[in-house]
Amino acid sequence: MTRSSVTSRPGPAAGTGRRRRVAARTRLDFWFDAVLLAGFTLAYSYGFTGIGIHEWLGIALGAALLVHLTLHWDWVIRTTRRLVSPAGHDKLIWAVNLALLAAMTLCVVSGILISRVALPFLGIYPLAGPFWDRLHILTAEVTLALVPVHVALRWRWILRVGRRLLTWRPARRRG
Amino acid sequence: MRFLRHLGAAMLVVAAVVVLGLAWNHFASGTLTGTLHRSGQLKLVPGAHGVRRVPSGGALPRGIRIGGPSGGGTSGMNLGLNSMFQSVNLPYLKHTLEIEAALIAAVVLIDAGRRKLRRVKRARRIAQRPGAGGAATHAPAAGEPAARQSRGR
Repeated sequence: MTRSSVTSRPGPAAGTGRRRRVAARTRLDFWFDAVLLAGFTLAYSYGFTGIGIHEWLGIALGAALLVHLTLHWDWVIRTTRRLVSPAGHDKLIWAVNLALLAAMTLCVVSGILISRVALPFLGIYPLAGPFWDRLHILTAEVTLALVPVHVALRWRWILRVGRRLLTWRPARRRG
Repeated sequence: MRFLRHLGAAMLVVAAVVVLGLAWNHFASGTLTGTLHRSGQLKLVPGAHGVRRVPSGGALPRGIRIGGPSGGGTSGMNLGLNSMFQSVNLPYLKHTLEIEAALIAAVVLIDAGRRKLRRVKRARRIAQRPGAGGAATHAPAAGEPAARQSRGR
């Protein structure tokens, strides 16, 4: 969500012009978010992973969600303050992100409460009711709908940074 | 230090959501009962002691299969890696990827279309402005740099 992404710095070889490089923070955002997306995709595909990976991955996603939110806390504050202004695009993103935060948090929490492998392994036996089962399924489906929207609303940033990160660049020359 | 401050704030927000979930369970758990009962997905059998769940523990899109031979419990950690490497389970992942790809494509198309429309409108508006630097035939060229600048995030 922090989008001060691509910096322009002098190239490594003098006289060859300027080469644009991606800031370390942007690189972290890009790869961390990519891992989050892959992790969520795997965690949702419960039939593919099996219950063990599903549960441990879900717990890890919960922690990663917290880190993701922390990394973008500035954006949250900035956009929340700007909500009263008439600009529309960020409002939509803000609403999607809020819904996603609620859905994903409830999904992880209900998943922990109905855990059958991860928590018992740690010696914790959660008492779950049917409510948490249903909430887990409902929020998982809502999350599946919102995650791609959350990603796609930033497609231009992803494209711009991805193009810079994934294109082949010649090795640096010194001297 | 700043990171820790932000982490604390993020944790507070997450805690608020968790409290809301707990409150939902406490005060209005009946609102969710029975809303997700669909044949072929999750068997939820209403009985005298509430709803019996078969099985529990996950988002189960279709054709439930509890990963691993033991299916969880107290006998140690079972990551269920066996099911992950069986090609028969690959359709689950494919299904998720298809849903995600379709949604991403839809949002990108809508967003790109919306941006294009806005750009055209802006160029037209600039062209119609008196003293915009020429006739309407030159309008797109005159309006384009201004539109590009304002689009930048």
